[in-house]
Amino acid sequence: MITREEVQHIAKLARLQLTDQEIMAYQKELSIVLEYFDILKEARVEGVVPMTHSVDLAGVTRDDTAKECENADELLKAAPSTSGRFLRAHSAIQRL
Amino acid sequence: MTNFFGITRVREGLLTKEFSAREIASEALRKAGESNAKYNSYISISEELALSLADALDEKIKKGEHLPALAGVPVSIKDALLVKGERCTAGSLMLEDYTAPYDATAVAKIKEAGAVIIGKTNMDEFAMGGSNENSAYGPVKNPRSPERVPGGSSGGSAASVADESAVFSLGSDTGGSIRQPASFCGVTGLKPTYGAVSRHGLIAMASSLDQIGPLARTVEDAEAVFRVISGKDEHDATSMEYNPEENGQELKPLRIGVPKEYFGEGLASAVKKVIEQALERLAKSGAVLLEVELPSTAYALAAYYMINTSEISSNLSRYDGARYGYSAQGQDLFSSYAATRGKGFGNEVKRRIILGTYALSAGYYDAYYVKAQKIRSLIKRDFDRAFEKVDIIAGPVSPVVPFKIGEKVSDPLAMYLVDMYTVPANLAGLPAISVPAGTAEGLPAGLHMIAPAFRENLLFAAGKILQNMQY
Repeated sequence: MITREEVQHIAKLARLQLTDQEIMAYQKELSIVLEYFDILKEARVEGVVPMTHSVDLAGVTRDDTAKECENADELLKAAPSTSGRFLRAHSAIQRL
Repeated sequence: MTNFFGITRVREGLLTKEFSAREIASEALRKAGESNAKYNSYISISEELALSLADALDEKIKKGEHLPALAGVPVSIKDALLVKGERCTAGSLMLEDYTAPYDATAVAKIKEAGAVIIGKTNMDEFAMGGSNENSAYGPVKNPRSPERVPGGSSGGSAASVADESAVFSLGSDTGGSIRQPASFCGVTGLKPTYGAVSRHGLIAMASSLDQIGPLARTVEDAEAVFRVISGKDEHDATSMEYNPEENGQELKPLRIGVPKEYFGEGLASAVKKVIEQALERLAKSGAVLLEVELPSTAYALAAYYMINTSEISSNLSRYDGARYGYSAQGQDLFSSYAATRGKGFGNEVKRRIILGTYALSAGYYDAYYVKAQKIRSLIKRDFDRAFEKVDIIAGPVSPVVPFKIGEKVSDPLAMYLVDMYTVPANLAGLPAISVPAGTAEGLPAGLHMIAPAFRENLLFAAGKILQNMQY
């Protein structure tokens, strides 16, 4: 069983504010799902290469050229809070 | 007004001047309104856009210009695909007021081909779910049996085609989200090969698994739409050049692989019967049925949900309350993030983000995430081996008939298990189709067919045989 503290820790990593009720529900539900995932332990995968993608593409590149962004204004308009042409957010660095 | 159902039918009507594009659009809009009142299949109806697209087409007809492939065809779009100037919610409160700043490539292509967009369809929030009950805008009812779910996550898309307000719909499929609702609502649904259709402008869930595809009434219509939307796009590095004509001929006789792993524990006997009868019909038409083995199938669902939730936890980090969408302000950066995401996301989305974050966190990464990726390789290898002796693989889409609304909402694992037959095609990147096969307990059930990468033509050929044998 996954603990309450584990759910709280993961929620913090994922930047999710959860209510007590949610924490309790997820604790129970995730335990059931993780128990099902234990089936993965049975699989024999010695020497198998992990598959990250179904298409074998490596290093798709394109020319490094500047292009005009036609809808920059619209994209900016979608932001909840702006200052000039910047998105406004809380400071990520604390002043000492 | 006469029935406009079908791409060819619309074209003939326009060419013979039996009706105008505006008349079809108006009729489709009326039907969409009705559909919405009955089944909650649309999140928004785009009357202004539909009429302007129709008028532009009527103008072309008047001038005697060539009619493009989907001219005048009323179409609905899953609310996970951007349509410029229209609201795009992805079924979430997080994007309740979000207006799309550009067209998804698949949307731009069908517009270019003359399709008339009548609305955005309801869906499970961020495409997470198999019943359409996870929508922030309420559940969709199955037009074939309104107390039951239409499937998901493209539930509104399947319902809009089943109730004939849209001739086809564009949906997205990450683990069965086109095929399962198509099966539940008695329509055809195609998940193309990964890379065959550009994902640009699709609100991402799990990027290594997501594909855009059509839901339609007939295999012919699904094929026509696929031809329009497929191809390389500079905005999606994983998209590939695609020319259906160059991807091999129809094979005679068609060799159909039937894996015993798809007929085991968990499959409802009524569904099993429908699928076996459909396979018999295909055999009578000259196809050869051969047993194949897909031994890693038992691990597919767990591996899928591990990869799916891991990609979700990363992909959905973009909803930070600063760029776009819902924003809740806290005292500092952390509390603003946490409040925005805690309130803006619904239950299933948070559940999957937590699961994925757990799987990727220190100490679990190798046991869960890397192990799942290795199993993904095994699943691909199973298919590669099977396709050495068969052309396509067939089985059920869903192990169960459409369930009652509310029946599985409190049991996430039971809901996940419904995806057991559809997820392997996404893990391996293969094209797969659901074609109506008959009814189980009076409810629609689809035959699931999977082909090698970029061999959609085999699915269309087999699908047409099945479809034309039952009507």
